[in-house]
Amino acid sequence: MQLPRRVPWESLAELEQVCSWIYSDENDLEAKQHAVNRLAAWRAAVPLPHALESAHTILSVLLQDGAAASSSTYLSLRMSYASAIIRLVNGLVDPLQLGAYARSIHSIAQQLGLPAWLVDLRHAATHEDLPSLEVLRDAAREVMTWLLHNYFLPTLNPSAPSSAPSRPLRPLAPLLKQYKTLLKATTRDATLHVQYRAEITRALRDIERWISEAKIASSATTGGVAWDDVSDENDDSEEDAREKWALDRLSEVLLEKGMLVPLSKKKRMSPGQGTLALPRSSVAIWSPLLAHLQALHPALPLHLVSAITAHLSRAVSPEASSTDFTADSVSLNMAVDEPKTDPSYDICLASWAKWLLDNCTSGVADADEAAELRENMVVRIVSALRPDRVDGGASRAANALLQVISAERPKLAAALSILSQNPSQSSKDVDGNVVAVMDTRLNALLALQHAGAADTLDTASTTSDARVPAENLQLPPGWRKLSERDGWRPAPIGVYVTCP
Amino acid sequence: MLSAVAARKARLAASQAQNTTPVAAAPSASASPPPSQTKQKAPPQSTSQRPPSSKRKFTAAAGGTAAKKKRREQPARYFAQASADAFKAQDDVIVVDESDAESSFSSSESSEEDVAAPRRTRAWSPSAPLADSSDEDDGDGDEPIVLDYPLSAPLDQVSVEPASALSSFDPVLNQNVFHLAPASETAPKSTVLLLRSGETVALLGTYTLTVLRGTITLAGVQLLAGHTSHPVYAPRSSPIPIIQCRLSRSTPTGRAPLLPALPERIADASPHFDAVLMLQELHTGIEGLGRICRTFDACFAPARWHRNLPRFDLGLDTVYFLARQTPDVSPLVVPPSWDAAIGSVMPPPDVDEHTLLGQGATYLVRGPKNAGKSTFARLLLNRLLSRYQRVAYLECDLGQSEFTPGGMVSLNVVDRPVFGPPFSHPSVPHASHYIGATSPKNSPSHYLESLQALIQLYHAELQDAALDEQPNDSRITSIVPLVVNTMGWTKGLGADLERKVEEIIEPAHIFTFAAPSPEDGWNVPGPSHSHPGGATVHAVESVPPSSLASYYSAADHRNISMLSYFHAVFPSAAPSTSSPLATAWDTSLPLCAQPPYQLDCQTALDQLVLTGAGTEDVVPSEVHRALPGALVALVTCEPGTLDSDSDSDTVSPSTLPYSPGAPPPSPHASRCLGLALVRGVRPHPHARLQLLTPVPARLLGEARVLVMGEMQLPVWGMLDFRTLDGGGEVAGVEKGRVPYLRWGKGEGAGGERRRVRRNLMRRGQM
Repeated sequence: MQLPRRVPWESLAELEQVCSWIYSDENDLEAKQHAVNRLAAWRAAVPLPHALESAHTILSVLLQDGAAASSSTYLSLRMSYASAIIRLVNGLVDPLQLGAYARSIHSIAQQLGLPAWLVDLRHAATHEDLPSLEVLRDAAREVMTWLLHNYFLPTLNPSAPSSAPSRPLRPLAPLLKQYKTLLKATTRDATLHVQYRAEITRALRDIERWISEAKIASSATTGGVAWDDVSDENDDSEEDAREKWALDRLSEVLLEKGMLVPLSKKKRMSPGQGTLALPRSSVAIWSPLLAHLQALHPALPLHLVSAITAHLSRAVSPEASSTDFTADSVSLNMAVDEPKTDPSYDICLASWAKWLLDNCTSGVADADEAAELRENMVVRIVSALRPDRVDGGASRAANALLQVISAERPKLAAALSILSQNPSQSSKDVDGNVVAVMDTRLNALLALQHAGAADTLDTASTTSDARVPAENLQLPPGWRKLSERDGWRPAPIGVYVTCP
Repeated sequence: MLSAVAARKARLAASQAQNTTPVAAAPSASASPPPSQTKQKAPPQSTSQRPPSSKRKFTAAAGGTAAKKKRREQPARYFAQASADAFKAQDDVIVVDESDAESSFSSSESSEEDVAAPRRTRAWSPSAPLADSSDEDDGDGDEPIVLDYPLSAPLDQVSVEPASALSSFDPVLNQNVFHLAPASETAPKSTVLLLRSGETVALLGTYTLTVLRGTITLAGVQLLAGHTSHPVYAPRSSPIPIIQCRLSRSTPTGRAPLLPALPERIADASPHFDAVLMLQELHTGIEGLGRICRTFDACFAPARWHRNLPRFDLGLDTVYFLARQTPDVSPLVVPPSWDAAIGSVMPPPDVDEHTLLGQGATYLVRGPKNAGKSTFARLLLNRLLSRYQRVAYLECDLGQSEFTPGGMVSLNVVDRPVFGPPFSHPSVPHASHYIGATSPKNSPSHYLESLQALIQLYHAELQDAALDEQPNDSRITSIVPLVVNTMGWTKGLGADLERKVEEIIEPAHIFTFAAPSPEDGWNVPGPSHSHPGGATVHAVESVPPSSLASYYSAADHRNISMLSYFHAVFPSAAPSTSSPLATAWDTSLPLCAQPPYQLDCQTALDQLVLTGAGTEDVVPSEVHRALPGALVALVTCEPGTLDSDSDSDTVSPSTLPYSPGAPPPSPHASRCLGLALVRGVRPHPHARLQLLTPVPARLLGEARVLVMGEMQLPVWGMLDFRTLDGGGEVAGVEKGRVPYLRWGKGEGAGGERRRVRRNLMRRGQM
């Protein structure tokens, strides 16, 4: 259930009126005064959305500027402009500081589509010489335009697309390549490590920054920034969704050839070792990054494993999809992406899944947490790879991965063998009677609940009616207790019900 | 969660420093580094940048599932988690509900003083105070005392119960449990329990408890046999009070006659037991609040997934016997240091009242938030009530008030112990002043002035107001002691205010809570200034927040208090010697369907005042736009203290009597009678307001001034609970068209309320 949020306007028409007071004629100070007065009253009623509050402050300064310059010094005018702009930028940027570390305000402003020079102005006004009146006036005008396009219009026309779409996410691959190059060099020649340390750190941070940008971009794709106070307590779920989205994108890129899986087929396998062993060079290059990122995003291994198994199971299923009409388009796309299967790529990915399973918990101190994480990963692998299909057309890689995992977990092995033995039509045998019984039980339960609720309501309403008349006797002058006899009817809070 | 991030960071830094690749690293045995170590990594100049916020949930870097699991497994205080398999299974079921509650039910407001997330010890805190200069000089007037009084009887046996057992009492029908036939159809059902010394009983629900013989303690308060029956409210949202049978030492006459004539079968069985108590169903309608504010849904009954457990049936509809601890309930624990501290300030038994007269009887409770201040203050109040006929209670905490909804300071006079969370005893206070916000940060001087007015009133009217001696009441009548609960804001301006509050109150005894971790400030013992009266300082141990803190945030408790207030029914008779408490709750109709009062502003209203930052800019022609759905305080002023000049000049008689920038009425010449909800305004032609208020009608005539502050009605109160599970219409208006409410996400940038992150780290802090 979604809770609504208090808004100061009775209907959107009232907000529209304020908007037209502000924007219909730039030189109509009287209309702007109306808007300021209305916004002040609204602000007293409920905490305003940040954009409205900013509009209120900037309008007040514009009025102060337009009215009479003689009444106050220009310094106070500049101070007013400056603080209005500082507060506007801060208030827009702060909600998007989602990560553990501060992101640069510039990058957030870019995502928001806020002109960069406003951010510079904020910095100058805060830390440097107070900017000139001319610049400040320009900024105020620019801000009001920005608010019109980014707050008023989208709020008043909820379906209209925002006129200033946020920037697309920059590609991650170059960042990863940069990292890979650096690490390749240092793993080959350890003496270079000192020399490259700073650069490696920078590369790591670039990747981190990309993740936080991806999180913000995800909010654009998942539909707008949340209202604050409703989502206040369920920040968890929303931030989870954003993080999930970002980590999934990261995993996608990591799985591309030339990232976790080397381009050269020869380098993908580790000769002479057991099945699904990764070549040492790959591990040396990528494990520092994975460990670093996992420290900040503990769910990363899960997402990586999901992506890997998703790929492996796709590799498994092409023949199945040919009979499945709904999946047709998907499989076609895939066929375009990957014209022919690449067994060594699959094997290498499976090896990474195994490696993640074995090593992902090294950074987790809490034994329970580690066990839980490991368990989750096994569950994802097993459920995605559909062991019931293993005997069928499963690829060698998926098969090998399942075997390796189950070899270390006897219980799982037993379960898997049962699963794969069961003929697939067993699901059709599920007894219709069982479902019917469950249905009747559910209905019985529901009926019980309804009966109970109705009961309590009835008894309660009878008691309340009896109490009303006695109170009217003692009321002071000017007060009157309304009742249905006076023509009063229930109405939402805030609505005045006219009684004769 | 902050600690998790900090610990990970530290570990990462450590692994990088060693230049080892995690490939070789075995599952880290280093666990989390000690706080001191991580603390050193923080650059000192950054300490002042980010004040703490334990409120903001910090999930960006922490995995959702892992973090949630961690929170869920936090053990209830003092009781080990059950290890039985059945419990594990139940634990799993809870997850669904918890995430449900978190994602869909949320409070509509939260101030920054809120502490919603359960407290965790932080590995590193940017807010750790540096050695504060004011902590260095100890006050000369204070004498911290060591508490090692030999207690006459241990009161804290509750805390040494075997793990997971809440009740050691083993109920057997017709042996130690007897159902009484109700006197009539409508009379509440009763059950008699026979207890042996030391046995404990934990009950969930609402009931009245009467001790027929022997002595028991309830929630740490001793109750003797007598005619008094105590209403008890024990919802799941608060720690459950435990009944414990005590060995009555003074029974020379032995098995004294049972007070009411009990059936013979009970009388026959009772000689083998030490205490006899009667439980009665209590029907007040308070459980209906859970339907209104769904965060507290069915909190007076066991959680859904425990409802079908085999449970001993007490034969009462509103009471549930809790044999074992389940994850959704936690017992009220009274640490020994609390007992010792309270015991040390109680007047010795059989003391001559007149020798006490000169001694101060003002008790102040102070400490950081979430330390257990309110629980302690309630316990102190209840314990004092066993020796004094009346006790005054001064509430200085605007966020979570004991006897009123938030936003006001109040003085209450209590004459019998209260058992239950604050929302179970809203009151019409003896006197109160409306501040209009959940924190005094915007009006510190008005806050202090209000407290000053209340304390003066206490000294003038209450302190030594002797009552006629009541028969059968051996309690002290000539003195009314005062318990003062302070706010938990102990840093910055808060610390400054706290100090001034102490100067105003001049307490004789100060109970000060040790901070749970030294990083949370409030160094103890830290009387950093001298009290003119030379207060005795008692250090008491703080209690970690129970597991319930993760289910219910401070904002949730504030919401339920407000809704409880507006649905409360106060006795309409003129007040006796104490402040009237709510006796019932009218929860049959949502607020939007309750018939309001209509008042004619010209006849009934002298002034409308807006307080709060920025309200000076509200012009008279627009003020009616601010009022729909607003909370206002009903204030009565002494005649002649309002400047009526301004009214006649600027305001025409037909509009609302408002002039911008008017200060709130002086606390020395006014009183707040209670709160009202403006459910509708008509500005023209004759200004009229429609108000909902639980304040008794006889008081309304005095309320000629309305003061509006920043407090908001919780959004639950604006909804219609009857349709909440269906279409969500409000009073017949369909969901998308309800005025003043908006469903769904806002669109456009800046469409949300500003929010502040105080735990943001800089790169340099890695």
